[in-house]
Amino acid sequence: MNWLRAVSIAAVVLLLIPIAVLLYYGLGPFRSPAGYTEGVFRSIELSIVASAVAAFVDFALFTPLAYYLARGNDAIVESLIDIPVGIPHPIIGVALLILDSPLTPTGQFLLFFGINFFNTILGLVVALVIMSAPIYIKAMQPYFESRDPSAEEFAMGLGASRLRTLVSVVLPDSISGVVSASLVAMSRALGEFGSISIIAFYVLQYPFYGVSPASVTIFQLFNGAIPGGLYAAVTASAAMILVALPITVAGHLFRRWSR
Amino acid sequence: MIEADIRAHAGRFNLAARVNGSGVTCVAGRNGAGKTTLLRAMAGFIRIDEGHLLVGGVDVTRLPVEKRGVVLVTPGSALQHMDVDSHLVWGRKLIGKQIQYDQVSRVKSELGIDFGGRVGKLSLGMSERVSLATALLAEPKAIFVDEAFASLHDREEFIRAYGRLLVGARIDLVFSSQDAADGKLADNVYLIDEGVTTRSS
Repeated sequence: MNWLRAVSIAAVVLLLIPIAVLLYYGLGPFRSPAGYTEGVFRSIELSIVASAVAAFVDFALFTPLAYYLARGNDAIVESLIDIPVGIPHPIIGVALLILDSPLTPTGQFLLFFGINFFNTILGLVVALVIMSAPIYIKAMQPYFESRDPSAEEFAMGLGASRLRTLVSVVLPDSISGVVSASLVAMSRALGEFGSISIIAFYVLQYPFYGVSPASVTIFQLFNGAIPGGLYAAVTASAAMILVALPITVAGHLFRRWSR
Repeated sequence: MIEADIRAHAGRFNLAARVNGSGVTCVAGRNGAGKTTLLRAMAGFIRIDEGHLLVGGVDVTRLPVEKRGVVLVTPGSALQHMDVDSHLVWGRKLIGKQIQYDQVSRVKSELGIDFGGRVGKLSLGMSERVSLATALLAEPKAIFVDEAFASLHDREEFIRAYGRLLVGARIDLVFSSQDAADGKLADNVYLIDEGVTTRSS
């Protein structure tokens, strides 16, 4: 008997029991048509689109940072990344609200250029980027660190800058790692609630006019937005899990495959 | 012309090395003698505590790696995702030098590159040939080769051919070897032990 294995499996089961129970009741005894209305699916759609965009922004903006951390030795920048993770998520929502408020100079400046976070798709994506970027960076950094640096050093000797080396040598050889990290970041963004419930409770732009992100919609159903809302919330939650699960699983499969 | 007088510490030992010479230079020593540390310090990947490095008469001691005009080639150097022909000209393209295809095919035949395809799918010896040829075609001031000749089946012949091509292009070569007998392939030979070099006559 391998006790380590037994304890580990028990620990994982412990983590998964609530989700399994929710799936069972949401799709079985508590199943309610109010949990899979078009409105709920529009919410899930909004969450998926915004999370996918956030994951792409993570890739575009934070891949160089992950590479810098992997190849440099910058403890200060590395610890700064953890700050958003350590702060209660609603605070990030409040912070974005203040940053872009008509009451503050920064907000006046941003609003002058038409950059508005409050109840916009932009605000939703910005919050999701802040919440998912640390996850993306923490996935990419060890991936880059595990690469043999010889080819990069060869390219630098030939005259390539670090950034050029990243773009021309490292990235073409890291597609599976990037896809994996992006999917993990996307599933993190899908699960976000705290910050977006403040900055983008619903969005007011085409094609999602009046639509709330999925986590907010579930919260509203749970709070009794409609009669029998608890059952609707459980059903909608189950639907959300069914959508989010394949993304998480795909992220991990890609990681396996990339090793 | 290479003129190196380097003191650096890396890991468990202190490096105190002098390497002077033009053409082909061999640094020979057993495992752990400091060959790799010396070449990495000369290429700019290990900070030098004291001393200087002149390559082609230019002091590059304080220059970042990409400005030195020296290429470090190791067995892992090849850019895995490229195909052989684009790999060979990549370094030259990078610095905006014009590509002379007759030169490319001459180098290919002299160095036994009679294969193509994706570099990541080649054997170690084949990808070493491609890296070494790429470095040569980029015409840097110097090429430092660490262990990258080791997996070649026609090693001696290859080093001679490579040395001839480099002399023709006025590129200095420094290569490491575990076998002091490789000195016969070089114009200058240094022995290294515990991070200290001595000139061998």
